[in-house]
Amino acid sequence: MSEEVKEVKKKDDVVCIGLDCGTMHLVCARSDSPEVKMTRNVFLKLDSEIQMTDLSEISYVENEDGQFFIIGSDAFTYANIFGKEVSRPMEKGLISPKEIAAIDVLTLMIKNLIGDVKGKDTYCSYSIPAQAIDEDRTVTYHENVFARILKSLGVNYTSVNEAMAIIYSECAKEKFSGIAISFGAGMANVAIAYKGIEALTFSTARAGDWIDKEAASSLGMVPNRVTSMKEKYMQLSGEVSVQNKKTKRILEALFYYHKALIDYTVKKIIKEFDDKVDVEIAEPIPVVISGGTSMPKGFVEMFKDVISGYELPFEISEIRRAQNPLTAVANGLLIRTVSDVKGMGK
Amino acid sequence: MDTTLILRISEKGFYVNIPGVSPTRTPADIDITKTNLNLVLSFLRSSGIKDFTILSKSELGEKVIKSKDIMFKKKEKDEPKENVKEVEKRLDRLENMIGRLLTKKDEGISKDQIKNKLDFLEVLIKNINISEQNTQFKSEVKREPEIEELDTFIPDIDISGLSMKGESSQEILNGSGDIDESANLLSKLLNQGKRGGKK
Repeated sequence: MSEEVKEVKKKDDVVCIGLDCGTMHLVCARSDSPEVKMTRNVFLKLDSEIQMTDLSEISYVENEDGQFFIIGSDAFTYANIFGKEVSRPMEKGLISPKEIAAIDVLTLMIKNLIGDVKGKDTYCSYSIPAQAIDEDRTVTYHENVFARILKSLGVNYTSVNEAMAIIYSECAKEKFSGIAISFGAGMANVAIAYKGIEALTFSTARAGDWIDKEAASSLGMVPNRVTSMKEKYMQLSGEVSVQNKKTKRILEALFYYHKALIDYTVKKIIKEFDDKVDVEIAEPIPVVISGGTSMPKGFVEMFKDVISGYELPFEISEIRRAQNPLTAVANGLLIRTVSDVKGMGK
Repeated sequence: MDTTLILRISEKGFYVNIPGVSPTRTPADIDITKTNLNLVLSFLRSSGIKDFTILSKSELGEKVIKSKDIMFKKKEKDEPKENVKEVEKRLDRLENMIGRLLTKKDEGISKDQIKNKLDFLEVLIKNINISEQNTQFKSEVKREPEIEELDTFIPDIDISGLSMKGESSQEILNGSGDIDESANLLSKLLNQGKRGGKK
């Protein structure tokens, strides 16, 4: 994390931003707005196979060559209609090596999300995943691409670990001590923090996309379709009110893969803690669950159930869900930005 | 002499999709005779499958190689690096040995002799793992290029030719408590370092 100290203007001219760069969603929180803006981090290139006569109702990007890219939720909707896979600037939590050309489209989406910062000193913390323990890719390229995007938009930037952002957002009452787990689309990110200082961060390459892919593969379907069903109907507790047999089968498969994901993550937390944490954490700490994959009803209960089957190397005070699993990272990043800017004496 | 290699995974609940082998669910016995063993081990590592057995079946009998003998050993921080040289020497000896074995094939070498050589080979393979770990450790350190190199590699971003129509984002009320209060507390707790990149 490199250095930037700049003569800052009076308070009203300073804008602090938290930008969550997720595989599935881009989420932005601003210090001068009570609202958090969110868009799906996907696009769909319109090619000769897809003919659209009316683009007035959808959001899209057009380039110099007259090519169209449907962006955000609309891309997802139309991909489902046409039975296509959406293009994703990110894959498994990092900038996708397959979609390098999409960086310009991503920049435009982020510009739109951040909004107007003209004439203001803008400071932004953006999220990066921790190094994955079960995959070889590094986060360096990803971190630098987002740095360059923010630089091109005239924003002062710093990168912050995604799971630590959840600690900043959700663990103020415990003085920023706790275990945060962000079950995103591409990765599960974990941070163990004690009084605001990170004791351990790591990520695994298994998260929501892994669930969708495995469920789709088991049932011979396109992952998009499974994702769509999951977001519409998935709940991990109580009665599911769908009659359609095929949908029921999808939900059943999704149930088992949710459980497998949680089990895998808990095992990794225990192992990483045993191997790498030297600090003795005296008092019980909370576990905060966040991320889009933790949204289905019953996820936290399933997590409690799975973790109760293990002997843990730390004591847990409670297991709770983030106040809003979709915006917790952006909110925590905003807290970190404001804290840093205050620390600069502004 | 035909040898069949079988990968046995007893732990339930994994979906195994090794390139070149039909996907299957565990527990399963998977024929990996025609598959690159490194590819198989790499898949197992990336999938977090740590408990498996490789069965080597041939006319001479059955050999069992357990996962703990092959991979996933904890890195010993103080592992001496001179092991690499030692293993290189052994590899040279092994190469000579196999060479001699091949030239003798028409002279009617006995099955017992082949078995002895193969037993010796197995011991050597186990030792090679130590050097592999050292090599991996070294490559991990070197894998990440310098930031400056990356910075020149990442293409410049030019959105001047792009135009955007419509609103793709949605707005949600941020109800996650008092940002300022949390930021003050965090600011007090953190030993304030220096602030990030420059626009």
